[in-house]
Amino acid sequence: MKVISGDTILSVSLFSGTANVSYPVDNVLNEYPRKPFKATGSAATIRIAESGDGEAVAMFAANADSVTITSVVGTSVLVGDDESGEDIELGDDESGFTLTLCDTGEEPEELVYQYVKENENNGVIWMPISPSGYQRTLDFVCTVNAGHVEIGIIATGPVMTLREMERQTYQEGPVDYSIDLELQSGNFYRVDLGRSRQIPVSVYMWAGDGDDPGGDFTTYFDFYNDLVFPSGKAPKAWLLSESLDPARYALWGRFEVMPKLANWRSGFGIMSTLIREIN
Amino acid sequence: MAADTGLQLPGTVLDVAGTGDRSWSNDDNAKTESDSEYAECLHDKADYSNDFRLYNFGLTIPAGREIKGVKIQLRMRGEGALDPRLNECYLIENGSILSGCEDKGTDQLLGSNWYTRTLGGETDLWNCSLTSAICNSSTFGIQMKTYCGANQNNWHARLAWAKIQVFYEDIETAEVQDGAGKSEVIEVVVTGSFQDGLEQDGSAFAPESADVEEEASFSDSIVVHVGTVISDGIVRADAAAVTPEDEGDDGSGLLLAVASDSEYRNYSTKDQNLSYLWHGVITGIDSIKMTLSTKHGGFIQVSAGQVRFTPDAFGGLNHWSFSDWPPPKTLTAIFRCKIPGQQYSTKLFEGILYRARIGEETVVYDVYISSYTETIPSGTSLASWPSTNTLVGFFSKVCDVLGLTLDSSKAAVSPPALSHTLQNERLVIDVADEVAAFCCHCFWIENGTLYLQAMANANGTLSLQNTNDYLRTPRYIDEVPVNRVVAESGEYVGSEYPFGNDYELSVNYTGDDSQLQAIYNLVNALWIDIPMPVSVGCGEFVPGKEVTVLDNRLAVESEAVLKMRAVVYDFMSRKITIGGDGSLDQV
Repeated sequence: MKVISGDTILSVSLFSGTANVSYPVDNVLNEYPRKPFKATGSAATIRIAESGDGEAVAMFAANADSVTITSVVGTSVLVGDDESGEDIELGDDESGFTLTLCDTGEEPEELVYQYVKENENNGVIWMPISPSGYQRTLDFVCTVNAGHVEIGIIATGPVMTLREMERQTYQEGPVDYSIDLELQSGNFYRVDLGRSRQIPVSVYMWAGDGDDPGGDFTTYFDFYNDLVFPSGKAPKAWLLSESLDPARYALWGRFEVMPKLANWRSGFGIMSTLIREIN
Repeated sequence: MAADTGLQLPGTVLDVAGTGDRSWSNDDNAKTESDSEYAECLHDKADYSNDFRLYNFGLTIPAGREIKGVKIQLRMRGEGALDPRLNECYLIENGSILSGCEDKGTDQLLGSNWYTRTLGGETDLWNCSLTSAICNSSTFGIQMKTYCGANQNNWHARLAWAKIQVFYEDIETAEVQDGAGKSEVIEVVVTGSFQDGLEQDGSAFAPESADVEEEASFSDSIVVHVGTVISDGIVRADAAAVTPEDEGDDGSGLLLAVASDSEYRNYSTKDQNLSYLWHGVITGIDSIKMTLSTKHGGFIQVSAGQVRFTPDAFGGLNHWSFSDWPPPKTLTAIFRCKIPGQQYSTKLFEGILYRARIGEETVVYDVYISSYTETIPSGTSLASWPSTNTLVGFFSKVCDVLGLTLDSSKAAVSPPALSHTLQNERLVIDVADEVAAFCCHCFWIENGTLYLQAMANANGTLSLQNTNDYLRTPRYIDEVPVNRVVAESGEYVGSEYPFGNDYELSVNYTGDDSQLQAIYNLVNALWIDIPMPVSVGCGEFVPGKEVTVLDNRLAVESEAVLKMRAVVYDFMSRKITIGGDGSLDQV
């Protein structure tokens, strides 16, 4: 189970293609899938400047049939003035070693990640990417076989990895927000205000000191300090299971109920919460 | 059914030198709606003004629509009873009179008071071959000329402003359809004015008192246009026109187009992903109500209470936010209603939002409607004020003063004469409201036209025989009965309710008791409220529409027939209630 806990997107722009003026490209950064970016054509390239710490990309309310992400790490070096206004010059460091700038001739690192839609994906795309450690550019080349490109949400950032849900048992119950008005006939006139899934989450976590002795999983207190406390009810990209189809188990959701921890002396505990899908 | 551009002011004016004896001065004043600033031509005896052209009206008629008619309004005055006069008036494009264009100047005297002259109309093409491309052209417009006869030197012809309105083919009809496939094509025009306090219990109209004076508070007026494709005539404070819009087939509920001095936003009660994105920043809106001032007639008016926004609708926090913080003190707004499956939204009315409260959870605005402020002086005899002393003559004069066109086609065939002298200076719209009510007429204003309608006349029909058309619990309400209607020295005493109250009218506008029995019948009539889903009722409101309802939940299956007088739009619970006087009979 994973969650993109932070947001490492610095800016977004439309590199190629044309945006529907009512649906600009920065709509992919708001938290509302129903405020999407819409292109006027079947292809568009969204360029995102990213800090380099992102470990996964998630897209929601996306109709793209294929997405190719090209990651390019920036290599520009600026030499200018220091704080005193003096020129920064090459010289020696404190140990007497000579400082030099040199062009190694290496091309910028370029990685390509590709997604091709094979089955109905429910508008959901989840792609692991490698962090670069340096600021980079992510170009999302999105195409659709018919119609216009439409992307609701793009999220990227560091990923927290949790165990699979307790006993690998998943429950979900959609909640319907419709209004019912009773007609004279006794039937109901229904104002459809949509539905969303609500998924109880119950995960075994390390809540003792230090790292999780059982594996490379996020501890409860990192989970709380780096996600629950700073973000609260802000929606995040969740992958509820790494072993099941992301089309059904990745969702854009928020804590409907704040996580609770039931801890016992061993240091392990059960974190339980309720995640509400935002769609 | 025609759509129209709304009345638009010109963007450019031109005094064409050498085309007459006299030139115009202060030309640009004709581009703004103000009586105090005007273009003028100083005439001598027997001379003509230069041609004065007004064009670049910024019309945006969809391509390919058939043009149905052109109406222009000229707000003019002269200086005497005889001269000067409007000599010529044509439609032009590219500086030339359109081929075959009819001259509608016809030497009409300007008179010594400001007067809005209406030329052409909804079905008048001026004998021209017009297309949407011609009308949208920045050179399309009006060319006029004035003339002064042999009466006086140094007389001015003055033009405060000119407007044009083009009517064109409406390819979309506003069709409503219920779940059972029942549908009806609607053509509705309604006008009302802002008034608070008529609604106490959610009913569409709930007169509690028989005292007309307590009900009468009609200082503001608005234009309401329901049931057709609308070109929004709304203009922001920076004079930029707000663009007309279509909405797509999906979506429902309230769509609120809001404009500040420099920005224009689409807001709604939820995110609506239509051809334009309507942002769901409205957290609440009071019911929008259109009501008649009395049960026996008057001015159909609108009240809308408050609109509440999320704070991030302002301060530039999102690209859909207004950039100003604090939120602008006033905003211009168009209220629209949308139902799924209908391509275009229905315009309910235009108004002004005035900031009421800024809080951390909401920003609240009060809704106001623009007003008519013209008055009738104290001591004015309503018998001699109009040129013809009838109710229709009175409203013709009202329209002259307010700059409106009168449609009296649904007024009484033999309208009563008036007999009353005002004791105080009164707002024209207030007096008109009371006179109409006294004579058992209602009226509303839409796109520069005042529609006067007898309460007894039906205005279309709507059948709600399918019990899926409306919600449970229609209400059938009888107010406290009235036994006697009194107006100054006149009275009518009925025989049915000897235990009933007096209904006292402080003014007898006809000077006799000829209208009192009709008032008696209307105030004693059964009042019927019918709630219905937004999808059925949105765009259904038209004054006087005869609505038939089959109600099989009463103890005995019955049919109610009412004439629609009022409507309440409750967007938060997705319900519309229509109300009116009527009858209930066993099927």
